[in-house]
Amino acid sequence: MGRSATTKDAQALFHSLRSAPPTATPNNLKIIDLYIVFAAVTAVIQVVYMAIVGSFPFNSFLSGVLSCVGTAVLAVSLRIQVNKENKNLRIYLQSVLLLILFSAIWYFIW
Amino acid sequence: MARNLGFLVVALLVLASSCESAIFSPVSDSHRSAALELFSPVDGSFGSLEETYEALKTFAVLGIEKKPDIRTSACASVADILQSTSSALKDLFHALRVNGILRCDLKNEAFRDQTSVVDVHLGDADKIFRSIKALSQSDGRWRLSSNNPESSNDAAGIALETLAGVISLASSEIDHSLIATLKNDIAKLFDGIERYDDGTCYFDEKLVDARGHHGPLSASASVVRGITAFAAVASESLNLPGEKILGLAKFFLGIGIPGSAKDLGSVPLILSLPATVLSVTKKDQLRVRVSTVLGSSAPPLSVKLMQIFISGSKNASIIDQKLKFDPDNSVHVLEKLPPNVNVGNYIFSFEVVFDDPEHKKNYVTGGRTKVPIHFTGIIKIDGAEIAVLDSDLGSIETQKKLELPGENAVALSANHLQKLRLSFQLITPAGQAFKPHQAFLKLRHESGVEHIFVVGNSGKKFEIILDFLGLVEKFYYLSGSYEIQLTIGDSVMENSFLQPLGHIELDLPDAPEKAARPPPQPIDPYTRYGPKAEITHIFRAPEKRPPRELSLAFLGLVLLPFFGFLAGLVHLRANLKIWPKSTVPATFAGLFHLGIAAVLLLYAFFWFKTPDTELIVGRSLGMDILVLSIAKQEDKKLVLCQPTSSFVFVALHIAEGGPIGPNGRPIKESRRTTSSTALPTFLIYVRIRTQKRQEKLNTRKNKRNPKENLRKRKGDKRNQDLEPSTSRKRPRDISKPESEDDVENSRSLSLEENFTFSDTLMALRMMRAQFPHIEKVSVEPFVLQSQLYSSIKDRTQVDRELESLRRDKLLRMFKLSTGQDDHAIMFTEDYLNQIERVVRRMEEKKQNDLTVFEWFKMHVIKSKLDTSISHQELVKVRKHQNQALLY
Repeated sequence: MGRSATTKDAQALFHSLRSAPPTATPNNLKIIDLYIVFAAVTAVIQVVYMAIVGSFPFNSFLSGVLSCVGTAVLAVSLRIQVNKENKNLRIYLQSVLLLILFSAIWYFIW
Repeated sequence: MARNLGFLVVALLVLASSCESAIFSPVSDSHRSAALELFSPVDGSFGSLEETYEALKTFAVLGIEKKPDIRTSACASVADILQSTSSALKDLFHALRVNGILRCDLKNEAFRDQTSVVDVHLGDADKIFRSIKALSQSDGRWRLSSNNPESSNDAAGIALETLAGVISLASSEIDHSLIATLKNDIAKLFDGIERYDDGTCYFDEKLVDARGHHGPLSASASVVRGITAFAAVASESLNLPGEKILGLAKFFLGIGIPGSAKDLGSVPLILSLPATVLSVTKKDQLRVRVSTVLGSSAPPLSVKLMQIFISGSKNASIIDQKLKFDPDNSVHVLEKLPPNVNVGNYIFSFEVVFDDPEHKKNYVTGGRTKVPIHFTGIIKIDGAEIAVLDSDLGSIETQKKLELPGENAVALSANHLQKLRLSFQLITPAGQAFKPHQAFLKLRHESGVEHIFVVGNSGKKFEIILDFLGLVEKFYYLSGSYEIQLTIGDSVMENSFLQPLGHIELDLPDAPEKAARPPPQPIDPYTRYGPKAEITHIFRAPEKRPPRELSLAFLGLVLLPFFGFLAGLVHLRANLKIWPKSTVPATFAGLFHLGIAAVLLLYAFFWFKTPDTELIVGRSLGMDILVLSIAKQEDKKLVLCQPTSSFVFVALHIAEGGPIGPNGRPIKESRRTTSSTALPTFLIYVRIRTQKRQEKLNTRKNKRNPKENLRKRKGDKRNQDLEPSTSRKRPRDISKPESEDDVENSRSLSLEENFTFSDTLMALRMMRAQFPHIEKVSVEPFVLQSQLYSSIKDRTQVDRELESLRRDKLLRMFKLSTGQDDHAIMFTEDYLNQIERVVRRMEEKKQNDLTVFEWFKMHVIKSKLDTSISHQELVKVRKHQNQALLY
């Protein structure tokens, strides 16, 4: 019973996503979304590879997955700040971009 | 002495071959064969006459009939010596001794000369006798000389022999009273004889004199020889105690020497047993043989077994049993053992009874002879069983029968509340109880700890009960398997054994904290010092790698989202063409992308050139600095990478001099890293040798000095090192004014050279620039060496570089007249200017001899580089120049 409800919810979600008018979300948010999805999918593929083959070069696996996840998280934070609906945040686009870039570089260097 | 030696050798040999203990056997064939082996003639003779005498005497004493045939050769040599008039006295002595044994047929003529020597008669024999007698002591021993207060048995023997000689040579009869006192002395000497328990007698020698210590053997032999000699010459019988004569004979036999005790007045008879260890089980017969010392058969007699002592106790059973004589083997046989003789150690007492009482006068038997005899037998073990008992009730839990001796492998188990009982009976062949010398039970733990218990006997039965409750402490609370081993052994038990019985599993309580630890077991020395097991290296198994196809497939799969991302971007019509129009943002954007490209390039370098790449990661100013130095053997590239606050600055500095230090030497590793960490500006510093730059420099150099180019092509490194300085020197060498173009060129070059110059030169230039310019004082700038030292840390470096600069004629050094050990340093250029200035001033004063300056400038400055130039050198230069002018 519960399972069918969740599947129904998911169906409804996808339907709403698909049927939403292209203008509803601004284009830059869509790009960020795309980037997040890209990062997440890459991470998932690596995890799957690990599950199948094993985590022999564990460092490689760790760095690969964590960099993907990290960039995704950073991109999510960027998206939150860029989103115009969050009006309670005082946002200067330039500084936000710089901040995100800076944190991304630090993230990768570490 | 020589005779003595011969006996000694025989004795040692015999000792080595057969070791008799308390049983004295007469001289047997083994002695004789040993003597024959010892004295075997080489080429039919024994070498010297002394050896011949020893051999012959030994054969005679041992009664060897089958002598090696040496008679002819020995007699020939004896005749030779006796006939020759110039023979040494010693040789004559030996020859006569040999002759005494062999009795060669010597012609009377040969003897004639010698007999006069031999036929000496002592006129005053009594006097000599008395003087020798004066050395005798009250206890029968003698002194060797009147100066020596110590007396000895050895000396007594020698004295007796000498006195015998004196008596034999005496022309008249010796005083009877003297001989009587001498006999008395001999009796006293025999009173002081030492005895062993088994009846052996010997003369001990306590004196240690300058001739060395004479043992009992030597002393006894000496005394016996002396008495023998005396007995031979003395007309009266000596009446020595027969028991002591027999003891002496036994002494010599006991140590393997057949002493010539037969001549002591009466012949000792030796009672011997071929075997003293007899088996009861095999029913061995007791045999007794009676013979003289040298093994010849005794006169008809009978042997009686008088008494039997049980060894270790005083009880003796008196038996008077006559042994039956077996004439074939000339042994006396005890046909039937007395009934009370069992397995064990006994002492049998025999007595020799002569059939003809007349023999008693000539033979000595020494009364009863006691002989230790061992009777052995197989001991029967009965009723052997091992059982585990319950402690409280004593009820038997498990019981196993044992077969002893035989293979047993019992497996028992017990805890600390139980007992182990082992019991058996030992029965002799005669059916009596037997008590062995050793009866041990041994328990041995797995860890090697052993416990030994003595099995006690109660009456006939042997029994041991191990109460484990009382033994836990002794067992160190060690639970586990114990091996059981039983040892029953005795010298008369033919079937002694040491056997494992099996094992018992003990379950003991845990050890309390204060319990004694088991002692460390002795380590087998083989495990300690023996070869160790060979080491086999186990390497880590290589990681399991996935199949190549799978990895490649996933590589493609990982790339797929990226393409999806790009496709999505296209689908969303993202604007990718934003590029700032204005200059500053465009530069930064360009730098940004270039930086990323550089990082990727580094990755690529790193990936493809891993073997040649060193990765140095350092830290500076609290920020990470990634120094990737991609070093190839020929061309070194230094790369410094430092992220700044928001993006990476990339700067490519292309410099010919670059990290190559002064004089063309590359910067040392340490210097490079320190400079990189100390650099506050963070640059990616890539030095790439570009062809273009190289060519530009080359053309410039070529224009100035084609010779250098040639030199450079030779590849001489030192020339290369000196290259910049020579190129600098050149313009100053030319005295004519330079063209403007050249001047400019050199200026730009000097700027460049500033990067590459030595520290010393840098410092000099800086100091020169700071030299005060005062209008009225016309002194060109100079620098003190001490100044240089104080401004540059490494003085050795300063010295070295100054020297090279001076050689390059770039600098001149002057000794200062301040008295201190200091030098002034001046650039040659400045020095020339100074000279010119002086010349100009002198011109103003209208002085004539100015040519000397020109000459000095032309010829001396170039060739003489030292701080001082001597007069002689100047004259020499002048001469050379004159000659050059003449030609």
